[in-house]
Amino acid sequence: MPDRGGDDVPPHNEVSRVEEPIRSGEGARIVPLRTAAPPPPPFTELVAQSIRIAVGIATLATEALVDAVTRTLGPEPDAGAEVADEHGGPAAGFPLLAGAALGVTVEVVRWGARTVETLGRIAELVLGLAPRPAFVKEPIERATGVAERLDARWREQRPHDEEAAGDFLRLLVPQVADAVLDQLDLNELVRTRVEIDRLVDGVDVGRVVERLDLDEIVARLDLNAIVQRLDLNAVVDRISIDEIVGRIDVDRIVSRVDLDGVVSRIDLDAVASRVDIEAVVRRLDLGGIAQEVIDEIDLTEIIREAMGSMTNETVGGIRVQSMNADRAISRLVDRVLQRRGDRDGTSSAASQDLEDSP
Amino acid sequence: MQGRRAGVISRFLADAIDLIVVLASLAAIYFVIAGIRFLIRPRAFSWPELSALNLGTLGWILLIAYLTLGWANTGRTFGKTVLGLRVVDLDGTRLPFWRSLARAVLCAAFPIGLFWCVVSSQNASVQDLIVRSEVVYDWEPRLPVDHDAPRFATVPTGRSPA
Repeated sequence: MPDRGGDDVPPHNEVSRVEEPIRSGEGARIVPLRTAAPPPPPFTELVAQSIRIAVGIATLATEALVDAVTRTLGPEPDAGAEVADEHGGPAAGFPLLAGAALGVTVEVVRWGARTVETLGRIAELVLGLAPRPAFVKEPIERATGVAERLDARWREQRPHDEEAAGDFLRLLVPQVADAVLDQLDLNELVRTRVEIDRLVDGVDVGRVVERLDLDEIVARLDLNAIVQRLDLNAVVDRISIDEIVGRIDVDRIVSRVDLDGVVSRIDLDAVASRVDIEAVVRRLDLGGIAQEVIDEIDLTEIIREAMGSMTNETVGGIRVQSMNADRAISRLVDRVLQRRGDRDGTSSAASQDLEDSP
Repeated sequence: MQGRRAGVISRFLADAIDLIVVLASLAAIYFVIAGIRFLIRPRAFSWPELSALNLGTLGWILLIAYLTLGWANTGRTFGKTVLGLRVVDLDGTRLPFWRSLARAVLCAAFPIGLFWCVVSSQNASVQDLIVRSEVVYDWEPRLPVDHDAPRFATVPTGRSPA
C-alpha cells in the first residue's frame, strides 16, 4: 500500500515536498522572520495593494517634484500656492492639472483593481470547472512542470541573488547616505527636531562613568604639558589660603600620621652632619644671653640664703650633738673615777656670780 | 648649757677643724709660691722641693699665729666658731694677747694636753690650767665682754640652752 500510494501521488505534491526543505532551510538561515510570517494574502489583494502603493508613491513623488520645481522659480510666485496648500483650498495652474491627473489615476487604479480581482475569480472558477481532455491536459501539465522547474531553479538561485543584491546595496547605501547627508544641515536638524534635554535626562551618567576606564584615560594625558599651560600664579592668587587652613583639622591629620614610623625612616645622623652648628652658635649673643640670665637670677642672694640656712641647721646639729657627746663622756669618766654628783662644768665666772648673788 | 665649760668632744672637733684650716693654708701657700716661681721663670719651672722640717716649722708657726690671733680678738678660731665655743679668761672676759700666745704655743707644742679635760673635774686642759683660761659654750656671734664690762654669764642670751 505505501508503494502504490507513493506512485499515486500527483506531481505537484512531489514538487512541494521537494521545495519545503529548501524553503524552511534557506528561510531559517537567511531571513528568520519569513518562516514565522502569516500565509500570503490572495493574489488579487496583493495586486490591488501594490497598485495603491505605487500610485501613492507616484503621488508623493509628483508633489515633491512640483514643490521643488516651484521653489526653483523663486519665493514670490511660490508664496500664493503655499498659502493655498496650507489651507487645503483649490489650487490654480499647473498644480491644478497635476492634482486632476492624480485623481483620475486613483479612480482608474481603483477600478482596475476591482476588475483584476473579478477576472481572477472568474478564471479560477472556469479553470476549476472546465473538463480536461488529453490535448488540453498534457500541455498544461507540461507547462506546469516547466514552471515548477523554473521555480525550483529560482529558489536555488535566490540566496546567491540576494547576497549579490546585499553586496550591491552595502556599497550603494553609504554613497547615497553621504550624498543625502551632504545636503542636510545635521546640526540644524538635531537642534530643531531632537529634544536634547529629554535625551540627557534619560542617560544614566553613573553607568556611563562605570564603563569608563579612567586609569587608561589618565595615562593618556600629558599632564606635564597641561601643567605648563597653567598660570599657577593666577590660580594661587584666587585661593584664600587662610580660609582653607581654617577649615583643616590639623589635630585629626596629625593623629593619623605614624610619626614614629616617619622618624624611624629619617637618618638623623645625616641631618645632624649637615647642620652647621658653629654658624648657629656664632649668630647667638651668648654673652648677652648669659648676662640676661644672671641678671634675672640673683645668684648671690640665693647662695647666701642657702648657705645661711644650711650653716645654721648643720652647725646647730653639730653643736648639739657634740655637746651631748661631751656630757656623755664626762658622765662615763666620772662614773669610772667614782665621782659623785655632776661634773662642775660651770665656768669660774658663773660660779663667782652664784657666790656673789645674795 | 650656754656659758658652761665645754667637754672634750666639742673641743677636739674644734681643734681638728683648726688643724685642717692650717694645713689647707699651708697647701695654699705652697701653690702660691709655685705659681710665683712659674711666673718668674716659666721655662725653668719645677715644683718647689718639700722639706719636712721646713714644712713642719712653717705649719707650726702658722698654727700659733692663727690660734693667737683668733683667741686674742674674738676668743674663737674658725673651728671653735663652728662648734660654738669660746676661749675666755677665768672671769669670762677676753683673754689677753700674751696669754693667748702662750696658750697657742702650748697647744702647738703639747696638743695631747687637751685630753686632760676628760678627767679634769673642771673640764680644764693642761693649757687651761697653765694659762688660767677656760673654754665655754657660747653660740652667740658676739665679742666677749671686756674686763670693765659686766660679766659674761650675767648677759642674758636670746637662745634657750639646748
